[in-house]
Amino acid sequence: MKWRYIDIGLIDPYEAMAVHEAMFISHTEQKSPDTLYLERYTSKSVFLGYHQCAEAELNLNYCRENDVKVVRRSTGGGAGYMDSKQLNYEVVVDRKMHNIPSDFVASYERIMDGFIEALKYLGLDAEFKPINDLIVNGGKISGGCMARRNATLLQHGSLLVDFDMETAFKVLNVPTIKYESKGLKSAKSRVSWINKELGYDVDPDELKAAIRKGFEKSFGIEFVYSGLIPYEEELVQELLPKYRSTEFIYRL
Amino acid sequence: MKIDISSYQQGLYKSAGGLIRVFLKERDGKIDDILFTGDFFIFPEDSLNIMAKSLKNVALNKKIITDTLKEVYLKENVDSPGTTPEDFTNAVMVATLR
Repeated sequence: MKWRYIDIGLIDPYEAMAVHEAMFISHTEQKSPDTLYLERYTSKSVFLGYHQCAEAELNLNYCRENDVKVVRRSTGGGAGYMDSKQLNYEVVVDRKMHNIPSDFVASYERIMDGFIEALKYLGLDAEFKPINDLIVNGGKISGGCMARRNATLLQHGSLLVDFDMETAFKVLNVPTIKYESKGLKSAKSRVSWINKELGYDVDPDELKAAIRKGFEKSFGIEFVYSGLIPYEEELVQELLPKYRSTEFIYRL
Repeated sequence: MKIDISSYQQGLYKSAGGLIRVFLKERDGKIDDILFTGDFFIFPEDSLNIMAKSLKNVALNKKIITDTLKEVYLKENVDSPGTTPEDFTNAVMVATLR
């Protein structure tokens, strides 16, 4: 079985969200193949989950003063701070074709296995932590968010490569209840990133090669290097105004 | 729906599936207006609006709120991994304390 592999490089975060939804829609209409897509963002950005309240979750003044773009996803989950050093992904696949469980947590675990295999190639021992986290040595290095329609499953998220935790915690208004319940001293102790765990700065091409190999192994597939199809490009242009609109970003 | 959150009572409750942040306006012991937000997952995505609408004018009583939400879960086939109707009720009850 073959999957499409797209590495779009640096992309504006609003455009990225339009690309993610475009690939999802096109796949539900059986116009796009199963895909693993990678990207990095052109600017400092914070991504709100679909159900989150912007004003409550973010320090909006800090975002304004420090040119942090406020973006809202169409998927649930929590807010994440990203800059151009982190690697972001989207997986769009046919759930039935790949026997991905219908249970949400089990399906996150299935997709995350691709990354677990990938990180093994770098010598890192990652594990899945329900509901949707990937952890190394107890620290979260990735989280996934999902959307589904018919047999199409979208999972997108970030792999923290070289995380700017100081800025992240200025951008995010993390309520104490969030980490106290996990019995941890602070939210910061819950986070880790690839370079920290490796002890050196990973070569981005090496990391991407590991991800491709990890998914090929986990799903028994082969990648075909490609780009967006014209229909997806059209959808991106249709969807972009939504992701850029303050009505959508500050809907809650 | 964009609301002025400063005029609402806010309730936080951590479920296994995520943090629920509820904004509540009460009147005469009933729910006048309510908004569920948070970092949990819930499918279908518009379930929260339907849940909020179902609670309009419902008494601020744990059992009544939970039963109302359970009905929505059944009718709309709601799936919220790690977060239960009881968790949403708990968040509402926390909001009444503010």
